[in-house]
Amino acid sequence: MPKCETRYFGTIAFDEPSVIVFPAGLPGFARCRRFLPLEDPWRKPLIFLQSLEEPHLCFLALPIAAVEPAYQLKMNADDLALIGLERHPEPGDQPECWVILAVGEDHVPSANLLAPVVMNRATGLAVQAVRDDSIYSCRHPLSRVEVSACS
Amino acid sequence: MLVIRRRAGESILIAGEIEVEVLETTPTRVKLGIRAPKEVDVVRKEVGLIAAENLSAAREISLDLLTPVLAMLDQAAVSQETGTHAGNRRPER
Repeated sequence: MPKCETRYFGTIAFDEPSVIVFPAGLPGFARCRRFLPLEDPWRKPLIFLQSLEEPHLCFLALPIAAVEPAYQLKMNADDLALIGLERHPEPGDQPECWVILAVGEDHVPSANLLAPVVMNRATGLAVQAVRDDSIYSCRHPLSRVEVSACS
Repeated sequence: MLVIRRRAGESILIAGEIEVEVLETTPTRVKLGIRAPKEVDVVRKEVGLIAAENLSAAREISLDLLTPVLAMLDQAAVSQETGTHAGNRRPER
């Protein structure tokens, strides 16, 4: 079983089929293509998107449904083709969709709803699908989720 | 801002080596073709914005800062899935 160095979990073994590939990298990280999605049972539903090329690079992400249950995915034709989807996912298709988290200088965690990571389970290919509209924010504060989830 | 009017099939040239051609226009969209040297990075503007966001997201994040958010999301997911209140953890994937 191949092994890799990770940012949060030391050196771990992984199996090749669980690797996801970004054929175009991610904006700002065009050369990082192979990632391993990791979970920590104590930190569910957090996803650790660990780069296999850069041990120090690990994006923290959440399933989009956990952050914004009514999120309406919108991908352009280039992004669909890149990950081998023949048509735009319908609400029932549930492709794997994650949002990348960041923490601003104000220490408030936020989620990038403007550019979700979409993974085609059938091909293991993924893309960070940057929307060309501005319905969603790239710094959606996660404290707002708290309010909606409790109501 | 420099404003130039062009029709489909016409081009502009930037710095003598970057050509932007208007390929097609519709009432709501313009299709552009760009010919540029390999070392010139061409991206949609919003992709450039996301690159900056990703660089920020790749910086060290204290997991402790996320703990309250995760606890709340996990509880919400569990009660949605099982119809019961938090306490039952979802099975490991």
